Amino acid sequence: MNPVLSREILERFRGRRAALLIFLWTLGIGLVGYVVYLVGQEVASNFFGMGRLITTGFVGRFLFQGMVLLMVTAVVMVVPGVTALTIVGERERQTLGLLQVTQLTPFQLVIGKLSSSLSYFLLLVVAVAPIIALPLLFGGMSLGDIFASLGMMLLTATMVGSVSLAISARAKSSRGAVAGSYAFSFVIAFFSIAMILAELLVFRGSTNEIVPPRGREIYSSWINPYIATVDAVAAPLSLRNDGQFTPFTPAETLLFARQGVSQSLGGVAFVGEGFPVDLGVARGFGPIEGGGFIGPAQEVRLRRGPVWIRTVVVYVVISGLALLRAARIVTAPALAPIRTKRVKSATA
Amino acid sequence: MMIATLSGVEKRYGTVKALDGIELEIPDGSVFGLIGPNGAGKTTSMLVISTLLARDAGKVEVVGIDPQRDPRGVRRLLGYMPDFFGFYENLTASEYLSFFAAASGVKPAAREAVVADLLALVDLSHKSGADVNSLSRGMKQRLSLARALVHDPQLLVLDEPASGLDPRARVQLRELIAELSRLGKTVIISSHILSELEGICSHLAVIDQGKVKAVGPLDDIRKTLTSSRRVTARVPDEKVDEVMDLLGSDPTVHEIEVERGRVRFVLSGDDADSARLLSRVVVGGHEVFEWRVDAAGLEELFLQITAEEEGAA
Repeated sequence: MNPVLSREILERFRGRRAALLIFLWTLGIGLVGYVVYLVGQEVASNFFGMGRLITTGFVGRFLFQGMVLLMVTAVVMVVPGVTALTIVGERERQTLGLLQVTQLTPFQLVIGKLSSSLSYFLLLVVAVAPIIALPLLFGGMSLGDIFASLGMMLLTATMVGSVSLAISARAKSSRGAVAGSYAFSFVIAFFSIAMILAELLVFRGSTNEIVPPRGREIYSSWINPYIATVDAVAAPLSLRNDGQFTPFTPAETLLFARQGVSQSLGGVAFVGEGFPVDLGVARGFGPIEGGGFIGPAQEVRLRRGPVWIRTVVVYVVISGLALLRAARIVTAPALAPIRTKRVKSATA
Repeated sequence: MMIATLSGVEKRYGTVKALDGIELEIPDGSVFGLIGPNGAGKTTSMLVISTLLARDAGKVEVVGIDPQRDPRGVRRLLGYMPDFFGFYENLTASEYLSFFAAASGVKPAAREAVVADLLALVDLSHKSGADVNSLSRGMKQRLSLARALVHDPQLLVLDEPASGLDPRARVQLRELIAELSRLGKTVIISSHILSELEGICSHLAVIDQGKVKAVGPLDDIRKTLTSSRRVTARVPDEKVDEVMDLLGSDPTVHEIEVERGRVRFVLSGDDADSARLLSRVVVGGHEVFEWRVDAAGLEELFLQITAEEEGAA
């Protein structure tokens, strides 16, 4: 086991503070989950107008989606906080030099730091796993959905953690490291949403529609963890027939728009003009020609690959570069050219 | 055989030249003292030797390895103790040492024994379960020394180890360093409190303004640099004036004075001159109760060396 990781685990999880934080975290997620459940139940009963039994699948999906988005938010809020202080903290308490003169390689040091931050996050995930898995009892989602969402969360945590680590290695103070890490995290999670909207508006072309009929690649969506997670969970995209609003609806609408399909909140999809050929087979109705109404439970043949795969590639590249950068910064002695010129000897 | 050599080493911090062609040869098994005022270049020299700082020019070899080309090779054989503590929260003394043992490549099976031995060596066995932050300054310093020893290095680099310690802790640390020397370790130790190094160093380098002003075995430096020594003689009170006249007539005697019944003077000569003078006083029919010759201390040496440089400049 990496010595840095084992020491950090020992240091981080010892004492009452860690136990108290985990208790508060679990309590908070539980309470938010309960609120999401109540909202989902209310939405379902208003829409379907039926008893609770028939709507449990919808409530389960609603609750799961709400929890997933909450956990992605937790990633972008928690990981920078626990990672930003790792290397700059060593420098401030004057232990970095002590580590540098051991047999640890810079990469071992950086990986130890990253894995300790991720282990903390994983502990938080494990602590609330029963709450996240609760929707399985309601139905409307599968175990695969849970794994897909956890995979994207872990990748997002790794990427945000790696960049925070590089910022921490470079920072002169804890304050600067924390500010820089959170700034990056907010750009990825929230500013990218503004970038998506800007991209849609700026590049909408000659038509008045925000999304052209044949769709458009929305590049900013590749870096957004919410879009990627929704895409990973919802893949393959399919038009739902319940048409009710759920926490994933805004992201799904964007993902459909990227394919050239505009999905209304009423649960029906309208095919844009000039989009007849690439549309999939309407189940039970045969191919659809021209713009028009698609019936319920339709599948769409995707003209663009899933966003989440692009996000995985982007995040892996960013993580790799950030870790290399961090390792280079903590390398001692700092790489510097040695002049071969001999200087005049000092007098003894 | 030299365990470390620095040849023409230069290092700049911006426009400040911290090392200006440092030349050092550190013999294996020695306790090598680096003395000099604050900002002289002692810590920079140690950082270069300890693989923590890249030099701008010159050549460095530690145990035959260039620390810049193969830092891990040097680190296997070198223990470094900086002039600050560097501790983690929520770790006990034994956990702290165990972590550094693991980071230094000590096999898991051997770690427990290594930690126990080191705690015993630095007399902290009774504090093995104590939080490192609860230890006294002297204990922390000894724990730092133990940390530098976890991988049983040949060479120890100790930067201002006695800084901020009380007299008792200083004595304990000095004894510990002497013990390490007896165990065959080479120790490079720096201080600007020269009395700290007196008695433990076998070799010495005086550094000032990034340059080596003097270097070599301590006794040789003394012999080379101090052609004078201070002598105190105690004779019967009624004979003081006669003894003063007798000694004052000798060309090797200067600055003669009487202080609290003792005749004190500076002798420009060696031990043979001192013996000759004593013999002259005794043959002259004077009783001598005490004849003490004080060799120049490190502080005196340092002042003399740096004064010569200032004079030359």
